[in-house]
Amino acid sequence: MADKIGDRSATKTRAHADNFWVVSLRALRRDAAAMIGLAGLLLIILVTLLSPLLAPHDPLYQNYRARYEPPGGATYPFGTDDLGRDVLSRVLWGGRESLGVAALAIAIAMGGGVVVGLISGYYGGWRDVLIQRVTEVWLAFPGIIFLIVLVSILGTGLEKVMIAVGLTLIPGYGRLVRGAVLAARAQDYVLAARALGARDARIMFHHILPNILPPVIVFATLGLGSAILIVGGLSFIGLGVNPPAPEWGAMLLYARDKWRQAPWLSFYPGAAIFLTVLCVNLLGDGLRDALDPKLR
Amino acid sequence: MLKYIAGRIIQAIPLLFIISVILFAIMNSIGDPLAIQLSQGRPPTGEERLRMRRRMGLDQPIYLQYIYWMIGNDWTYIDADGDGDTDENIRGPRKGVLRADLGRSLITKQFAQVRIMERLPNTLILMIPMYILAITMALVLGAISALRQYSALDNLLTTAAFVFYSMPIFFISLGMIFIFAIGLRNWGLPHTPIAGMFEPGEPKTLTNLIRHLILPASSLAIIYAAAYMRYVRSSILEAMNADYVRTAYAKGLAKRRIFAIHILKNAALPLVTIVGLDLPFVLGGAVITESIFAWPGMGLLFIESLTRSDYPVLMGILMLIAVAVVVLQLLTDLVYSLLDPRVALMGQTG
Repeated sequence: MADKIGDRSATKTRAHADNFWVVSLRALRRDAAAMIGLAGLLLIILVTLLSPLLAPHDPLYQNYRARYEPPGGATYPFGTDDLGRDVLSRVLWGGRESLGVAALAIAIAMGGGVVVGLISGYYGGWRDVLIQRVTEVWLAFPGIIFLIVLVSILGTGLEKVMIAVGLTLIPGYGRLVRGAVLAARAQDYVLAARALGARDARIMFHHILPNILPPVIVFATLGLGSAILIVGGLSFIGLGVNPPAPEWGAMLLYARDKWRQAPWLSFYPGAAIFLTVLCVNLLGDGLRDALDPKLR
Repeated sequence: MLKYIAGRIIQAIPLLFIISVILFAIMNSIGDPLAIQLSQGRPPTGEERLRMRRRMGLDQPIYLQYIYWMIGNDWTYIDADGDGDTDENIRGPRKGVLRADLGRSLITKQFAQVRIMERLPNTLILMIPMYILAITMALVLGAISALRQYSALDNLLTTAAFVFYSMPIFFISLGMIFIFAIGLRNWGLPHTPIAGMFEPGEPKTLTNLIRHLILPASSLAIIYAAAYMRYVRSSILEAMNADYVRTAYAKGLAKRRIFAIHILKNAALPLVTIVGLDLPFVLGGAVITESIFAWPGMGLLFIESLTRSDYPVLMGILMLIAVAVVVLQLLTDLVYSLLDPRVALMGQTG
């Protein structure tokens, strides 16, 4: 008897969930701005992934005969820097670092936030109090200052920046997940799963998580944009990727005192960051509208 | 009300204490403040380093250093000449944070509070006009955008907000410099200075200050305004469709009155929260903007102190921000309860 009831409610939930994603996807497809963002982002990812094939030159090769070549030439479409390095190749290669670091940082933040938020919201009690107090301390610092402190503990370099940015962003995701879990915990499907004897971990990850995923996905997509900006900003103040590795923020830092002679050195990496963030935000806004049943 | 405020302040004390312990431990492990110090114009020898370390009290265990930082060391004897023995007749010079002494900078030997107070006004000079500009722009443009929803003007404004919201601060700053400082000068037009608060040798007049303020303040303001405008627009739209607004129209109230009292007041709530969350960090200065424009504020001081492991100054800045976070969260809640009588202060926790 109990089995039957449980089974039925489980199928119902799943069927509903499928519908939800299908309907949301359809809504997203109708959103022209979001589709432009998605297409742009996929293009940028593709181009950066193919940078070894697409880049006309070695991003680190210094051609002293072609220093400060202005953009527009056939050999150097984006010009060269003071050491004769090809800006186009550096922008292409730089995307791998900028995008990769930002994406992995968001993955760390999301993974950490989901685990922390689930535990905090599902169990409540001392675990919740402990996690919430730590979160408060964590959030009591400006992001950039916390980051600078973390980077100076961990040291500069790609993977350090990634970890630092990820750690800094965890509390935001934790709060979001916790709020959603608190609302979900009292729902019938959770009670049903518990009545069937499901373990806590199964309820948390199998039953609650899929249901609270939409806001997390939206938050993560929009967060990717800010993560790209943060990584770029860290490099720009000299705390990010180590030179001479090409990275968009680091390229901007390098170009900083040369904008009089060579404005293109700042323009191309800056525009690359800007366009990527713009595409990510377009997609994120569209996802938010598509995944929010209230707005449909 | 007073009881509530007092309660919140008392709750904040353990939080601030924990923050200070964690930060102190971190700040003491990020680098060696002696690494860049010179003794008689050259890097110190091992013997000299040890002596300097003892004189600065850096040889003490970290919990003692924390206690000295917190309550001072004028109640105990210290090793003033750095020979390794405690001098039995010399008491420590420090009063501790609780008696408004943040300790001396390890680099400049000035009091950390002096270093910070030199820079804090500069950051406020940058951030207060910037914030006023940003919030005004966000409210006005957000309201226009919401009132003319889906018009060409609304589309233009929301697109512009979206574009600027996606723009990295360094990109916008460099762009501004390129157009308004370099471009205008090349074309022989009136132009703004590139960096700093005053040109060397210039009289420190208000006009000069404002000329230098234009670029950093407007770069920051554009980005903040773009972000806030999106909130203002959506919360005004939400309020416009609320039942109480329909009731107000039905009662025959003047449109202007409905907008000012019913819509704007309710739409201001989310903005208050967001601004309240953002404001404390204003004290930390805009690290990136200040470093682009060489604006001698808190952000730049923080970076300078960090690269030299000058922990008394770092601790001072960070604790100032932590206190500001607590105070502004309280203020946000108070403003909230003033704007929205439904929010009961006493019922809130944390």
